[in-house]
Amino acid sequence: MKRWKRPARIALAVVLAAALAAALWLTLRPRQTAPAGESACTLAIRCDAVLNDLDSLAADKRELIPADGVLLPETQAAFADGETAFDLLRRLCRDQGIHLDFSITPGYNSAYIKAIGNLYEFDCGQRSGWLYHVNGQSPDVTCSDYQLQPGDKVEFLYSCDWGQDLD
Amino acid sequence: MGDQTAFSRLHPAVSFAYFALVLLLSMFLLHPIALGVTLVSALCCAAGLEGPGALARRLVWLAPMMLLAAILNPAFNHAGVTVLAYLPSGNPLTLESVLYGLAAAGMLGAVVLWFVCFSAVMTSDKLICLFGRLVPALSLVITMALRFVPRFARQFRAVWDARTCLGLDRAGKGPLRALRSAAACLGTVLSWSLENAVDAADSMKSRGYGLPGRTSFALYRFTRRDWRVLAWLLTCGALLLAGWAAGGFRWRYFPSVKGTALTPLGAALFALYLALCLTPLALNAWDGLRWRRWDRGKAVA
Repeated sequence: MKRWKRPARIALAVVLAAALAAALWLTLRPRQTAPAGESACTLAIRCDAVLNDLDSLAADKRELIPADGVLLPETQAAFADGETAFDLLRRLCRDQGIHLDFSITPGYNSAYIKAIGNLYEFDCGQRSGWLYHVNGQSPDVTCSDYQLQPGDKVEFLYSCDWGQDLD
Repeated sequence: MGDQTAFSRLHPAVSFAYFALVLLLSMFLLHPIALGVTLVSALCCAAGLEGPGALARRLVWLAPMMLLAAILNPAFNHAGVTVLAYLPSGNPLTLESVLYGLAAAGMLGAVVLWFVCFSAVMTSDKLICLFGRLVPALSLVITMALRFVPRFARQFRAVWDARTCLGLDRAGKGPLRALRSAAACLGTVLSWSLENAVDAADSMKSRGYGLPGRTSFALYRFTRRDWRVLAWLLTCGALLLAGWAAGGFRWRYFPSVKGTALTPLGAALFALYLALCLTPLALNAWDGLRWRRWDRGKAVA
C-alpha cells in the first residue's frame, strides 16, 4: 500500500524545486545598468589603511595588497543622470578587470560591498571592511543610493577600524 | 551482508575508531588528492559492504546532491582572482569558486558514503555495546529512536491497510478526504507510538537497565586481530595527523589556488591515507584468501 506516499513525495519535490528556483533567481537575476552619459566625476579605490596594520591581515591576502595600497588610481569617468556611486564602481571595476563582490538586499535595493580585488570584509581584523567617501566626506546613505553629481570625487577605501583610520 | 565480512566481525571499538578517524580526515582535508583518495575508497568500501546494487541506488540520490553542491557554491561565492565570466547579477564567476564547489561536492559525497558504511557496520547492538555503560540512557534513546523510524512507517501502513479494508480510505473521494484519512491514520499511529514508548520504558526499568553493577550481554571479545588492527589504525592516525600538522595536506583555494609541490614524503602520506581508507577491503580480501588457502589445503590432504 504505497499510494499515500507518491503525492507526498511529488509535493515535497515541487516545493523544494520552487524554493531552489526562487533562491537562484534572487541571486542571479539581471540588474539594469544605466548607459554612460554626459557628466564626469572621478573614482579611486585604495586600501592604504591596511599598510599600517599588516599584522592583522590574513596571511593569504598579503599578496593582493599593492605596495602603495592603490587598487585604482583616481580615474575620470562619465556618468548618466541618476547613476549612483555603486553603479560607477561596478562599471569601472568591470572595465578595469578588478574583482568586485557585493550583495544586494532585496526590498531596500541597497548594495553592500563585500570585497574589491579579493580583499574581503574582516580580512584585516573584526573592524575591517569597505567604505566610501565623496569629496572627502562620508555620505549618510549607502553607495547604491548616492546619486552622483558632476565633479564628485568618489573614493572606495578599505578601513581596518570602522572608518576611524581613514580621516 | 554487513555482518558477514571480516571487517564487520571486528570489535566495535576498533570499527568505531576506524570510522571516527576516516570521517575526521574526510571532513577536514580539502586537498584534491586527499579528496580523491577518500571519495574513491568510500565508493569501494560502500560497494564492498553493501553490494554494488545498493550503492547504485544510493548514487541515484547522491549524485544530484553532489552536483547541486558543486553548482550552488559558485552561484553564492564570488571570491577568487580568476574571473571566468560575470553572473547576471553582476557578481563575478571565478575559477576558484568553481573548484571549491567541486571540492565541497567531493567532500559531501565521501562523508555521506562513509556514513553509509558506518551504518552498515555499526549496528545498534554494537553501539549499545560501546556506549551502553558510558551513557546508558542516551545510547538507549538513540537506538530506540533509530529503530522507531521504520517501525512508525510500518505501523502507519498497517493502520492505513486496516482502514482500507473497512472502506474508510480515500478511494474515489477528493483530496480533502484523503487528507482527513491520512490525519486519522497519523493520530492513531501517534498514540500507538506514545503507548509503545511507555511500555518499552517500563519494561527496560523492570529489567534493571542502567543499574550500577549490571553487565550487558555482548558477543564481542577483543581478539589478537583486534589488537593488530587497532595498532595499525593508531599508527596510521598518528602519522597522518603529524603529516597534517606539518603541512603535508596544505592546499589553498582562495584567493588563488595554491598547493605545495608533491614531494616523495607527501606522496607517501597520501599512499598511507589510501591504505588507511581501504583497511576494510584489505581485511576482507585477506580473510577470503585465508579461507581459500585453508580449503585448498584440506583438498590436498
